Amino acid sequence: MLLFFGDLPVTVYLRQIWIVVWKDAVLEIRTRERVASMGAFAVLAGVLFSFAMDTSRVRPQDMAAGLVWITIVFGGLLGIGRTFHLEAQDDALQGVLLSPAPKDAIFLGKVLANFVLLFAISVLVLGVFALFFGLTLGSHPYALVGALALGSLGFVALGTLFSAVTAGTRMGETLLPILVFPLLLPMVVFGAGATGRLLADRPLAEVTGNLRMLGAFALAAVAAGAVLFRFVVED
Amino acid sequence: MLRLRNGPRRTGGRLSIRAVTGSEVAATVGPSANSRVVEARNLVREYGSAVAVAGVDLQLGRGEFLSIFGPNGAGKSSLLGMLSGALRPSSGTVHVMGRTVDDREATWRRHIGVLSHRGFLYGQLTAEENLRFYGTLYGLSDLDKRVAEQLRRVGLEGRAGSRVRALSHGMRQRSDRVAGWTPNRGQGDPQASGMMFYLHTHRCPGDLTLRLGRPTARGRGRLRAGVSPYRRGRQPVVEAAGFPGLGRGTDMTLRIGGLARHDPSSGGGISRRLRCGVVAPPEGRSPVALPGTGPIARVRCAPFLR
Repeated sequence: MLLFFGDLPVTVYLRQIWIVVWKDAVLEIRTRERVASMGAFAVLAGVLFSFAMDTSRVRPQDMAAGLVWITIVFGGLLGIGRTFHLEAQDDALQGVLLSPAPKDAIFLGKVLANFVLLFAISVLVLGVFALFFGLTLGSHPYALVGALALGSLGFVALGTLFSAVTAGTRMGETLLPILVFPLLLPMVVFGAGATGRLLADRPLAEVTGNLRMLGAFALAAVAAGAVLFRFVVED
Repeated sequence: MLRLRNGPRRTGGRLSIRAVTGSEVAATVGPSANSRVVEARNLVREYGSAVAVAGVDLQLGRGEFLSIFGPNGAGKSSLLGMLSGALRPSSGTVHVMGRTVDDREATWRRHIGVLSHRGFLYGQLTAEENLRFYGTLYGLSDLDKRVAEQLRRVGLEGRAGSRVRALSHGMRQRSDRVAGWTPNRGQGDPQASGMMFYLHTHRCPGDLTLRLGRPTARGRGRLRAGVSPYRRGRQPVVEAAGFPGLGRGTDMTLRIGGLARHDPSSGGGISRRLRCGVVAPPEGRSPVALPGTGPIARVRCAPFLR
């Protein structure tokens, strides 16, 4: 039985998503443009925060959670904000948008590619903070990684959408944080809450609510982005 | 059947396209009402108070060619953007192969290939990777075979693994051409399917060389050339349809000369329709018995005032 997504067979739709992921991954591997800036930012931020905070007066795990998420937000925006940079350089975005591939497939491909990148950076940020703040990951490291994954997914969905909004504007890089940061509030609140409790080795039951909210935020962000993307990119 | 007509003058903004013919070209090769490839009705694009495209009606059949000239800001890009679905019209409709150009449904996009002067290829991907990427977006199957075929066709099989940014300008253009034709490959040979080509330039060259991709057509063709009435006669508009006997890949030189002068007192707009356009073979050659290379036809625009 052949399944259809809209007027497209599902296999074609999935292939179109995959080819966008593949293309972005290949471009990132070849240019290392975003991963280098995000990675360097993550490491440097961890080092600077470790010197800036007096860990003899405040317990590291009390403040590390918030700093981890703030670092992810700032570092992530460095890379996610440049999502359409290569396309713009080569004028390729026009070619992609002129293709019959559904806009939501293009959006989902971009989100998945960005997610892989940001999730890797998030894990790096956690590692850097664990190293410099002497943190232990508690007894539920998978839940910690899950919180990072859900938060990253919501973040890249919003970041990709607004990166498309600001791509053609003169003040795009300044505009993007102003647009995105207020919308990231739920992610930071629930993400930092879950991370703080997990780093403090609290029971898993205490963070399931936060994880659910992170999941709902990610789902809503991806769905809204997929629906709205075509309005953003079509002139 | 090839027909392009602009609507009534609106705000008098400098962006409006004025330079189109209203006369119908009697193309004896093929195109009938049911073979329309592109049809636009009352196409308007406004940017704030500026009207870039003011009510253009356009019909193009299989195998027809249309060239659009105009100065910067004349609305050429807006018109082509709307025809290719890249730009949403302020009002009016576009149909491609009988399907309404609508962003809610994209089947019609499979029938369109767009070649931009800059191309749409990623410089960091190889020629082969670019073709695979676009081929997948167009939902083409059997990509291994198609990509290899296309690269061989344009003589790039030896550079398939080279990144596009490392290719010479000419090689890059050849890659662009393949990528631009990719969608048509899904429908058979683009020459056989007779899709139209837009030549899109803001310059008014004395000599304009078109490479025609349509296979030999029988019968008598017409070619008309004219000049925009709205800016002192510096923007020729060339319509071409059903050229007789043109072989695939044949070069044709159109020599635009004797440009018309604008007569502001006569109003402009559609009433100033173009009526020049004389197809003349180059010295010593017949436009019907065509050699494979070299100029084969020369168009000399007769001066006109009204």
